[in-house]
Amino acid sequence: MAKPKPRTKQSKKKQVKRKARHKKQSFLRSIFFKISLFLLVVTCSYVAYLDFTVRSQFEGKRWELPAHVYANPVELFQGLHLSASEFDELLQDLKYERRQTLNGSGVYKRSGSEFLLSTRKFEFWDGVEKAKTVKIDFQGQQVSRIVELESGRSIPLLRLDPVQVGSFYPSHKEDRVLVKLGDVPQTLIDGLLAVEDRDFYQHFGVSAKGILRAMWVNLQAGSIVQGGSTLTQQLVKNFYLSPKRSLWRKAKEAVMAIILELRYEKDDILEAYLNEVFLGQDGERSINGFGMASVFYFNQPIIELKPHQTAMLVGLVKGPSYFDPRRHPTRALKRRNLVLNEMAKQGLLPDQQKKIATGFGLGISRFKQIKSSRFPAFLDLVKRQLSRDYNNEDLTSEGLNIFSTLDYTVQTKAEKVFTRQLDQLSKVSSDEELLQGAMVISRRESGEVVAVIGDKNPQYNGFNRALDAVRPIGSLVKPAVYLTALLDSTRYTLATRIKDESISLKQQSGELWTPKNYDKVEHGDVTLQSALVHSYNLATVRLGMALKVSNVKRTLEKLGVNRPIKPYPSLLLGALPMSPVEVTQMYQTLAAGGFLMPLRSIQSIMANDKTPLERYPLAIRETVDSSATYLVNTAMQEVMRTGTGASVYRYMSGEYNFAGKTGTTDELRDSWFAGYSGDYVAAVWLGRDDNKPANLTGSQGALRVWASVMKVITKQGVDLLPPDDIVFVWVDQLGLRASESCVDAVQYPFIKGSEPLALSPCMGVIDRGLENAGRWFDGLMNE
Amino acid sequence: MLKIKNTPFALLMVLGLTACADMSMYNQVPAPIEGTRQRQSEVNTYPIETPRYEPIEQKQPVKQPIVASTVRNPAVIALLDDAQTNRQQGELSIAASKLERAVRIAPQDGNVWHELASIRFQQNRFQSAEGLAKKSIVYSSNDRALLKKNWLLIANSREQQGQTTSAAQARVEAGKY
Repeated sequence: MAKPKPRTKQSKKKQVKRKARHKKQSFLRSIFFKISLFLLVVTCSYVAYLDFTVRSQFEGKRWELPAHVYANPVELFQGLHLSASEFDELLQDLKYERRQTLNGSGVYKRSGSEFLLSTRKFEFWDGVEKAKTVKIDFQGQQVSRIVELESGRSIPLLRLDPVQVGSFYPSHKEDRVLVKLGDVPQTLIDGLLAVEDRDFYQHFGVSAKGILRAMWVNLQAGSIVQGGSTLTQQLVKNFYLSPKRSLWRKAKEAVMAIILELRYEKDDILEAYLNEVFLGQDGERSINGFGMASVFYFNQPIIELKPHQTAMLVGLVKGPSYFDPRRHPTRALKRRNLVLNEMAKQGLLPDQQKKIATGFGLGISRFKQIKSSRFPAFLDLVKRQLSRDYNNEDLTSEGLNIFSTLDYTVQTKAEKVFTRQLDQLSKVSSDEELLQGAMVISRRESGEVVAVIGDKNPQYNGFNRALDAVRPIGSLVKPAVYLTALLDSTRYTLATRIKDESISLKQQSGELWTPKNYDKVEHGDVTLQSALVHSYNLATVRLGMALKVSNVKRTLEKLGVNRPIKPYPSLLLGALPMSPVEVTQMYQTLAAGGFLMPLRSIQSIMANDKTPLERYPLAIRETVDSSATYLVNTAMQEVMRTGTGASVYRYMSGEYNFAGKTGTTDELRDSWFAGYSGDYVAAVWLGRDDNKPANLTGSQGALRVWASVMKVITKQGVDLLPPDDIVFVWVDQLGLRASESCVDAVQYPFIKGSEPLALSPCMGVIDRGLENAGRWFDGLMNE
Repeated sequence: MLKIKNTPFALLMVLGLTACADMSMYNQVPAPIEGTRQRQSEVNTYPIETPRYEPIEQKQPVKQPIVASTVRNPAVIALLDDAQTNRQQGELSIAASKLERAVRIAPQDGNVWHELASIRFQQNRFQSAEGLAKKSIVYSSNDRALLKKNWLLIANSREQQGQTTSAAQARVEAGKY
């Protein structure tokens, strides 16, 4: 039986339709399945990617920490030359606050010459200095007694925490002091959770309850009291995401917050948040984390903060610039009290304590941290000396603690005087605007650099002339010429007479070189000492040629000059370009009696976790004979008494016995002075960057600056100790052995065996008899 | 992580093979540091006798009295004592650091320089030890025992560097005291 066709047709059609639908459905299903699978894979990969991002940053190095550079700490001891008013200034520099009562560390109280001081704890390379309260008495210009209050005992030495003098910041200029959760006061955490994320310990990264509650609280308060984001979300936002606001970013933030919560403990997340959060801006530098904020706003370590202080910091989270306590104190105070109220409402702060806390003012420290570029020229030297062992990335990301040799007091005093002097000298210079200068100061006995100035505006962070202005040193080279002579004591003594007469020398180019004296006069026969004291060019060139220029070059190298020196005759008059820091190195060796000590700007380095890393020790080597150096040093003292440096004693007591040398180059292009006191070596250069004449001689310019700076920093005169083989002998004008009673006789130091033996006609019979007897006796003793 | 650049170079330097470069301003070699150690806390506190303080009359004191070895500053004594303890515990770099502080306080105290020299000797930095001992001699004035110790240290340092002739000369010098 045949089925009706149409039916068949119909059913076939239906079947086809069904099949097609089925096909379509299964196709759709498969597409859907594939798409879902694809989406799942994509989502999973994306989540995995987010997971990887979250983990790698959270577990790796979370923050690039700037390196901080500290000045040499101040050490107080009985007998230290320091007046009460100087100490008061010093405490200001160290950011100690003067108060009526001693509460907390970093504060002091003064009554007359008696100070009560609560020091701050500090971890140094060689040990920890605990916080303690001490009584310090002054008498006259000295520290007379230091007593620890708790034990009532005298203490021999008190090392204060060092001034932070600068930092090497990463490019984003975020500054932070990392804190551990255990070091953060509980009130800070309580306050933070109370206003920012009440359910922090309950939620899993995002909190619907939190959002709803925030809306309700804010509605009630009529202003924004709470935020809806959890701390975890805030951390994710700051840590991983761009500040752009979008729905997509919000979703990403939520996913990452959940991942963070799944992966890590609540306390770890909280600790990261405490260190990450942005809490203020100081010029280019951004203040991140509560550790840094505590120092920035209160000048106190976080562990010491009281509830009213922690509440203020917590209040800042909402808007560090809107609630900036320095710029908007009323707003900040209101916000702080709101935090305190919220804490009390949630039972986290007893009412009594809340009352006390709200009674306090903001108590913001007047001190901000020093800018990164406060001492740019010195920091530049630190950076260059570090470059042997650390690259730039280490310096800007590892949070190194660099203990430098900078003396805060010397550097700041020197800067002040230097700027004032340059202002005055600019008026007599060729062009008021263009006079520039640089200065380097080091400790005479250890070669530690205590101050560097690289510009007439010392805080300007640009061309560092102290290290990079390489200019001919002129007569500063002369002590090296005379030292070369005196090293050969069989031929030369300070009393040896040399000719100061014109001389012409053929240069390598074939041209004739005819040097002249500064006063254009020839002085005939002069002693070695007098030639150096009056800086005679002709005598120096003649002497140098007799010694051979290559030997002078060798002496310069022994004195610590490292750059290549061309041994041409013009070297004898200082055709040797050097930077002020190199000049300081050269004079340091003279000042230290022939001992070469490389100038150092760094003492030691500690890692961020306070592990000691490197120590740059005092290195020393005797490179030049100490007796010959002694002779040159006495002649350099004479430079200051009767020679080109004599103007110094117009301003200062002759008892200082400074030793030094002026330098002036052709057409008054460079004005130099280098010399030392009992405690410091310093070199000054003045001139113009375009190398045109500055119209200042060494004594008109650089010496004036040098003397004015020395006047405020030095506490010790030069007391040269003659080595054992030095004898003092009176010599007449002819270079013959004389006595004190002879007219015009001068006493010189000699290296034993080089003193003149022939007696001067001025010596009487008695003198002669005494002299011969003395010599006979000496001979007997030496046998 | 933190890396010291030029490690092989630094090693060479530490071994003292490039003695000259050692003395340049921009190429200073860090001192060896002992391994993990407990850092002793601050300078010990010693009771000191009634302060030997004498008021100074002149307005601006020019010269600080040169610290004679007999009347030494209590601060320097404390640092020397502490450095001695560190040294006994093998913490040479800490001892050296404390002695350098003592140098800042009393740069003309021959004993401080000598102690520093002895530590450098222990650290096998013989050239530096010799330099420091010579510096100590400058400030030994008439302290014969100190002069002897310094010349012996110089002799030993020279021997370690294989300079036998000059070592013998230093021994002769030591014999004079």
